[in-house]
Amino acid sequence: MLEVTQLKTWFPVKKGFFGKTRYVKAVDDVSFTLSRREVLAVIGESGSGKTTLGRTVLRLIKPTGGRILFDKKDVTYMPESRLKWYRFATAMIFQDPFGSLNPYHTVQYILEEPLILRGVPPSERREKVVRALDDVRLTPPEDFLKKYPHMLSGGQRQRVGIARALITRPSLVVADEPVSMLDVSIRAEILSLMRSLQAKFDIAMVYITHDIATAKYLSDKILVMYAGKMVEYGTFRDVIREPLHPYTQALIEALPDPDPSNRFTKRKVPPGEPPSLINPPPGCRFHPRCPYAIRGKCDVEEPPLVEVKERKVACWLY
Amino acid sequence: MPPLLELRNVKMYYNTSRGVVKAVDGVSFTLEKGEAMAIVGESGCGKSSLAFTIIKLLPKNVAEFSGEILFHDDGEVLEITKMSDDEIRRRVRWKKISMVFQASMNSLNPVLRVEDQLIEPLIHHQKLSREEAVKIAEEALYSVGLAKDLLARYPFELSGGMRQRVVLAMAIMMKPKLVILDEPTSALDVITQANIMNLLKDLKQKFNLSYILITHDIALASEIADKIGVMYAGKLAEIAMADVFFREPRHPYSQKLLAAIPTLREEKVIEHIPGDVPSLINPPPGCRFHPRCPYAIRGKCDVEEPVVKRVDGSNVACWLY
Repeated sequence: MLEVTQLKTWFPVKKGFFGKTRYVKAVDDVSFTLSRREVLAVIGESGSGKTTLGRTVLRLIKPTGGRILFDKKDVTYMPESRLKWYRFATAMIFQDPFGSLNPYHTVQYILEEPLILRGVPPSERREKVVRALDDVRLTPPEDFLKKYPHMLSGGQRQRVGIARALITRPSLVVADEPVSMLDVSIRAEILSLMRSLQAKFDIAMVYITHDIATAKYLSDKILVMYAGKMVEYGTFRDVIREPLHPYTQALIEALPDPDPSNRFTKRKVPPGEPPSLINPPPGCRFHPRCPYAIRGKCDVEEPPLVEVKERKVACWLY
Repeated sequence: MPPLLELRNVKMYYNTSRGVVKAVDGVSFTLEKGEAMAIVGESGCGKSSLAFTIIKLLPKNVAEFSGEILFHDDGEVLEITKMSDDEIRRRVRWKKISMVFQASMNSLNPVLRVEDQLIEPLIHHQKLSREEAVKIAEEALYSVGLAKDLLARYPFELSGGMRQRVVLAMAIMMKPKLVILDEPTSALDVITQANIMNLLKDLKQKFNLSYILITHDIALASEIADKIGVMYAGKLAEIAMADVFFREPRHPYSQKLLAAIPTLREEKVIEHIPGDVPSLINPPPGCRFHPRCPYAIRGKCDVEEPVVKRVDGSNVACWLY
């Protein structure tokens, strides 16, 4: 349903009035496909370009290059005036349930607004709103209609955010870190809710997160990004069981499972932090932190995306 | 040997327009020298309030502060509860007990160079000369794995992980015995978080430090904690050694918390805890967890507050035992 090929999103940065324009390559040559009912986890640290990727796919940001095909229609450079149908077919769930709901609007209005935009007659709207609240298990729905966001807990707000995204039955949803601001104890609930609604309504979903552990409960495929580049892409299970790219390995190694023996060992993670996207290192962008970097190769030539074991990896080791 | 830190029935309430918030409501525990204890629980359980209470950084609108906080320092007992603010500032804070505040990496003064931030307390509180202070700052930076030429830089020139290291350098600079860490890695990326946890393990060993780690992430707590305290609505529901806790959590709340963590390697179905953390102004009667507890006994748990019992070495406040 969704086919993204060599997508590029570069932001121009000008140094001084006569300075040369340079680019922040937030998304650089990212490709993936997504079919109906599938969930793709996009994993990366802050500044890896994962959020920009999500927003570009929804055409909230104009791409610099590449191609986005949605239902075989090319939406890459489609002008805004002809993009209305795409807006109606897609939706986004935001990270911050405190900032993404208008504090002056009631839950009822927040959920009604996308319906009004789509010209749904008032007689049908209330019923749809009630059903949407029921879907996200804010029950009884009548209790929530007249509430304002500040009267809800973080988890309840995020449910409203999910209900708003799904009320128009989109076929593609981008969820950007939907649980990272919630307490661990309610993350599980929100994740399972998202999974069940995604399956129920046949939604294709891009789940953007830095936390592979939460992605496990939701995702069929995984795309790992580092400094704007995709480094590994494959089915979730395979990648977690045997990560091929050293960066994916580091991400998994860095994540503790609860185990009291953790305190006796140190995590074998690379030092340093992701590079600036204005001036990324030459060659493989991970090479300065990579324990397996090959001198004269990894620091010079950019690794191509190669197919290994039914998945794609960008690393000179393969 | 007395423990390093002892809390006996510590309470800290504060006033708000809606009533008195019982943020810390009768907390008791002991912490040995060189031991790391994690305080875990959902947000709004009073974890951070407990941390502030231990170093007596009380809110202005404090309504009640009682109980005993004893710090045993080489044969001398410092009774933090009875000391004046001035005495605490001179004798305890930073020197004996230091604290890394939540998101403190973002609270470095943006117009001061790292050097000036680090040496300021040394010059003003310790009355050291500038040269001596700079030397101590350099040593502290070295301990946290930073080069001394960082002293000349401004915070905005540093990455998040480096700033967090500067904050840690500040915390250990005056050789305290206990460092309180309030969500020390919450704003960091996963790999940076792992690096900081590695550093905390190193520092603990090198300086025989004790830690109190405040976190909502139990997996992260298992990275460093010898002992776990589970906090719920201002009280400690369970205190157990980490080895016992992860194998056999006793309190229903502990069991629920552990079952709610998404794990990467282990195959398990994650559960959620129904309901919300109760208000600390009007906590439920009896056991505060009873409205959410699957084992609550009617007529007992909703009426009488559970007493702390010792169960196989763990302290549990639950009527099931």
